[in-house]
Amino acid sequence: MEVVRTRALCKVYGKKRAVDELSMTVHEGDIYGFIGKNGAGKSTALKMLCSLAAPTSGEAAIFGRPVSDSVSRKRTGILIESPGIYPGLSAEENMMLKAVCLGMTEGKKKTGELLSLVGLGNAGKKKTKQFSMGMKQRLGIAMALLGSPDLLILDEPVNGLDPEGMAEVRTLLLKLNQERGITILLSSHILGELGKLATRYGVIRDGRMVQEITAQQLEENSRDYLHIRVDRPREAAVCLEKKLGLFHYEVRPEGQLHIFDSCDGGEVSHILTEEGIGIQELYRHRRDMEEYFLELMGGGENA
Amino acid sequence: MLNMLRMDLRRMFRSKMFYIAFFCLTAAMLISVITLRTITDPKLRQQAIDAGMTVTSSDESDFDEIRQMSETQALCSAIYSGGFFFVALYLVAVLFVCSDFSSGFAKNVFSFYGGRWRYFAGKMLCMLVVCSVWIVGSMLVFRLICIICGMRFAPDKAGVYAAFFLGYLFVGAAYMAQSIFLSVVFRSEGAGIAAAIVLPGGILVVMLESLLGNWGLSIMGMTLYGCTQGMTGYLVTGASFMKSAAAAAVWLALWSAAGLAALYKKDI
Repeated sequence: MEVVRTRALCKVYGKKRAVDELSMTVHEGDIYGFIGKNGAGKSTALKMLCSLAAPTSGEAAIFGRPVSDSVSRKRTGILIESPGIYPGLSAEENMMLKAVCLGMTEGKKKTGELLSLVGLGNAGKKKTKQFSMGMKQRLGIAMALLGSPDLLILDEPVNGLDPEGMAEVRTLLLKLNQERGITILLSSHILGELGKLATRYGVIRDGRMVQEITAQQLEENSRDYLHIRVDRPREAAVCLEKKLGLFHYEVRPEGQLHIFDSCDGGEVSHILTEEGIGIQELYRHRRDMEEYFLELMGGGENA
Repeated sequence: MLNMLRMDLRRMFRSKMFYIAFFCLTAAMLISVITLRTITDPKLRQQAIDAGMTVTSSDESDFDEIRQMSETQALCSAIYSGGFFFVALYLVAVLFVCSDFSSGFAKNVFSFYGGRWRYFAGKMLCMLVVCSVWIVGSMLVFRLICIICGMRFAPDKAGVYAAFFLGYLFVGAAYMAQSIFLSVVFRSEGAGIAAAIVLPGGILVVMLESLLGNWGLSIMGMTLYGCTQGMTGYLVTGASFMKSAAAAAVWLALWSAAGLAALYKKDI
């Protein structure tokens, strides 16, 4: 089932297209990592999904209904940009205010449960302005969980957290996804952190969706390979296929050949030389997830 | 909308600013009553003059006029006619609304409720409750202060108290719609505080009135500050209540429409 679906979603501010023809799909049970550089349009896209910003054009639907529909809104919990809490009130009081706003009858009970779930059960009457960043983010997630949503939309939930705080939020999100079956759409530019969570990814660049990919596909795309530059790449590929049984390769422009199967560089060199194929370059390329995403996002700046 | 109202009332009555602002109004009433008591009592007046106070009027009939004021007239002159009551109310409103945006809590509300009119209506109703509580509270506290200070003003008929309440509530509603509009547009507590001093405090209107006076024009009666003066005029001199009420109604409609348009047009 498609939980989130956008088609050609656009948001224009003056002459700038913050979100440009964005199409994305989040399936039920996904932890969808929405990745892009700062200013790529992640927050604007998420705001449109949460009805906090009006699209200039295009469609956005949650649970098959337009985002303006009250049913889809009530099944969605959000944390966009900041936790959305009053600094002068305690965690419990903030939660109670939202519970009253949602018209919950058992607000106090639910508030207690959620605060315990996020590890803030003992926060007492301490005002949230005295909370650490990690505590605020966890409270923001607890607020988003009020109303028992089926979808969580979280914008940079680990932003500004120390490694311990990141780990806490990661554990919490995995727990919510695995134990409660909540679909999670989260944006981040911290690739390493997303890699530990996401089951699907969407890469946004200059407001446009560059690629949607599953974690499994990503793993395949970001594995190591043997890079060869030869004068006759197609012949070289056929030769290696026959003599070494290497079938997973990619013939690229300018005589490049990327071999993804495990093989010995020396052996490859020997066979190609025997066949009279001239080798200009041969080395093992180590490519991790970060490098793969950086290519898609358009460079390492701000990422 | 009722859930929104319940949430806003819960936050309002648990906030310090509601009580601090009313404490300021109480202090203003106390100072006003003590001043009136001092200048209307010959013995106290003389003591004050001896202590260095300057009393500009020496005509006993002026002091008699003060002694003969009714309770609502005296209360008007204490905190309402100069706009102090509405400055305090306006300050509370802008801080209350702006904190929704500065804290990000507004996102929780707007992502759940589609119709942004609910937010506006909830805030308006909450502020009207505050205005009502303060008007009634000011009447009670003023009477108490008068008793403590030994200053006696003639009680009014029930109808006058009702007109006092409704008249200022009506003007308050228009000011609240204006304050919500400005808070939604600027989302700045600083801008809101400045507006609270300049608009209900009458500074802008008085400046414009002076400027337009050069061409023989007057806008005072058409402004909200003029409505405040009009309501006071009704209680003191029997001027038209309906004229001020009609002007306040027009402003209420205009600022409400502007506030709703801003809420729907601006992204959160």
